[in-house]
Amino acid sequence: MRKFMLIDDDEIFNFLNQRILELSGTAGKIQVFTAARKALNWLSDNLANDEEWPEIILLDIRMPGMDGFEFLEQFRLFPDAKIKGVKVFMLTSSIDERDKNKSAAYPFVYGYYSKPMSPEILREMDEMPLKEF
Amino acid sequence: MGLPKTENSDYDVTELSRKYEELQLRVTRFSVTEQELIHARDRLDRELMVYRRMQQFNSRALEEMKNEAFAKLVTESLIDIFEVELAFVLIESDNASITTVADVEGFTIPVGARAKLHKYICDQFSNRQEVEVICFVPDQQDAIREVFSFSSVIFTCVKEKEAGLTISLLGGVSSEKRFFYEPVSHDREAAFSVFSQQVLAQQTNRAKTQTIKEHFNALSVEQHRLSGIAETFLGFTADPDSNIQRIVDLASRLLNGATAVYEKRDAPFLVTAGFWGDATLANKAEGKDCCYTLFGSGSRETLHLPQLKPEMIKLRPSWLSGFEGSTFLGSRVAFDNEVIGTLAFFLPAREQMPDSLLQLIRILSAAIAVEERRKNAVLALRDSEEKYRMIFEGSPNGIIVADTETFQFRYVNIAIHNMFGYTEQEMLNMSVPQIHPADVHDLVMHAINDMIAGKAMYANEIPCLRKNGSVFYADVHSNVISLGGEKLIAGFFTDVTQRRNDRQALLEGNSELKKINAELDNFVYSVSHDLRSPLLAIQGLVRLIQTTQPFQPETLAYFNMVTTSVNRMDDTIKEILEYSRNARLDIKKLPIDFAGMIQQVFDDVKHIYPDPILMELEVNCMGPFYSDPNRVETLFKNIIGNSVKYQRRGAEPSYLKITVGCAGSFATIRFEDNGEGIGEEHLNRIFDMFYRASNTSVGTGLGLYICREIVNNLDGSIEVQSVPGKGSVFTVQLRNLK
Repeated sequence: MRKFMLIDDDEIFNFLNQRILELSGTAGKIQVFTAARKALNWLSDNLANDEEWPEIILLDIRMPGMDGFEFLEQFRLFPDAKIKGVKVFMLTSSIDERDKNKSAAYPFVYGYYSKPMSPEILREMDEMPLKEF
Repeated sequence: MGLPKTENSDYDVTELSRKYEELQLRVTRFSVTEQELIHARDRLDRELMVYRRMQQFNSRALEEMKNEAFAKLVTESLIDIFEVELAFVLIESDNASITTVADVEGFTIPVGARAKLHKYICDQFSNRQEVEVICFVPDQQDAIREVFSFSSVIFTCVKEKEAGLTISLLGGVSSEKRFFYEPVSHDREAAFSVFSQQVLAQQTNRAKTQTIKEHFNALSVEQHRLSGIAETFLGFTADPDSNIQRIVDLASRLLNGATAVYEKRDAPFLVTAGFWGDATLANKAEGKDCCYTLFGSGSRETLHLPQLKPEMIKLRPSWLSGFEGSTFLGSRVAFDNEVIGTLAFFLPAREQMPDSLLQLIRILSAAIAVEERRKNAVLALRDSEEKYRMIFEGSPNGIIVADTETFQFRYVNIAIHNMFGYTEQEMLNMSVPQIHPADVHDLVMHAINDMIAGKAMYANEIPCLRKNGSVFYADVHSNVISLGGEKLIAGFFTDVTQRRNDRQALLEGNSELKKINAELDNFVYSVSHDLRSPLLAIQGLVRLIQTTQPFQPETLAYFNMVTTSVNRMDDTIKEILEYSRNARLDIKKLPIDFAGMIQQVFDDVKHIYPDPILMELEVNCMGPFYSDPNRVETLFKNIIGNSVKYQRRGAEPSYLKITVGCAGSFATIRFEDNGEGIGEEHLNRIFDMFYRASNTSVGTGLGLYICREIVNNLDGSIEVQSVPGKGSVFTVQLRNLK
């Protein structure tokens, strides 16, 4: 059972993704944030909380306030041990090649997917092994 | 003396008478002696008078006089000294051939008789050396009577062999006047001889003096000529025409005022001087080559015609006719073996023409030739000066010629005054640094030194400073030139301020456009993102709904239709974005991995159609191929997408064969499928915007339009061959952009 964190300003996608996760039966705890800032704050507050530290983060790019890339910039400042156990996937409706290339520069970003998520995509994400970096 | 006393008677009368007779005799004797004494005294007086007169003659003859005057003096003296009625003298000189005759006033020996008389006199002495003077009374038969009827005559003939002189002298009394004159007596012979010797001596002396004087005169004439020539040549000016006039004037002077004419060939052009003959010559200069034609066809340099005859000038009725009968003396004026004119003289008829004179006019015509040559050179120089001045002054470019050491300006043209606002005089007192702003002096001096060293030919957009302090920009082309042995640099200034401003504005405009482009790009992305988000939500929700419960097949079909519509709209949005991106973004030149890219694209698009399709890929490319990866990928996505979308449902399995070949600077990518194919009527329109070949198609009508736009941008081409129901072949050619 995986621990998920969903970050998207669009509540419908959050709902949709949450439902697919639930229906797949692979998800354990699912935390949902509509603002990247709040998600980051939670992560900062829970650095010692191994119980709830997410294993997969689905991150939208274009969001009001802190956007996906700003989140990645802050996330990479967390201790290596905390980052290495997490697979971040970009899940976006952007088809800007630049966004794709930019996100590929982060070692902890494992994939770039166009919305909407599907059970097939979820299986790919789940099966992707952790990297050493 | 005392007579005997008469009162003394004892005187003897006889004695007295005898004494008286004796006395008488003595008186007579005394008287004769006295007479003789008187005669002797008279004779002595006359002798004295003769010698005194001879003395007088001698001293008068020493005075300078012409031969005629001398001869007259001789005859007058002869009459005076020898108390004759008439006298004749004839002086003959071997070399001078001068015959001088004089006789008495009012009495003339006829011209024809003079030579006869002279011959007669001299013949008398030719074989009688011992006799010096002949004095006689000619009888009726004497030959001298044929010349003149002398009653008595005295004559002699003396010669001076060295001087070549023969003088005959004669004094005589005519028959008519013989009663008034004593006949010429022999006692005059000695004096006559002396006189004749004196005349000879005087004449010899005079001849020698004459010779010396002539030599002296000749020398002074020569000196006069030389000084005239020197004066003329020293007075030469820069103007060849006035020098030619001077030469012609000089020529006339040297020939004692003969009319001198310089006639230029093929031109009614005369330069004249002198006043002999026709003085209005210059006004009659209507003829051409008058003197030239007198020379004929020969090649002689000089020509002397002692007398211009009518037949010589009749061929050319011209001013020449004014000189009929004169002597013509001409010399051709030539240079470079070409006769350019004639220098000619017209002077009083003269048979002989000394070589020295011919030599002289040859020299003068050579001097004219020199002036003509100089004139040509001056004209040629003036021509070329004029030409360069026109180019220099007429140039729209500003031109400055400056010293390569001091950088002082030497020449400036009109255009440069206008450019800088200085007057010519102001500019000529300036140097290079003064026409550039201080902050670019180093740059300018560096550039100009490179130009002088031949390392650079031009400098672009050099800031220049006007008189009023404003700055403009000029392109300066340079040329190092050598003028009069001096090394100078010529700068050609073109005001490029406008061009520079235009470019500046263009650059600013461009960067503004780039900014707008970038903003627009972001806008398009944002809009596409915002448009797609709800669509993708619908898509996701529809899928989710399908999983929640079993639906009727009809309901499921509706859901599929919703999904199809959503996908089509999403495709449209994506294609608009692609179009925008192709039109707007700069081309990035990066190496293309054809195999990897095609495989990736195929993997991305193969899901959009449910039926499987087999892809075969063959890449034959050596070395890197450069193009814009994003555009190439979009291009491939559209073509491969079409093959996937428009598969033909048939017995055989669908396939797509892709071959990539590189040759030269091109890559050819061939996409062959066995899909629906495209009708011939559509083939030439499928690359048009929003053109859709099929009603059943799920396309937007943008895909192939974008493809064509992309190949245009990448300097490539796209072609299609297709048979409906068989399949299509798309051939893309791309240029290697490295």
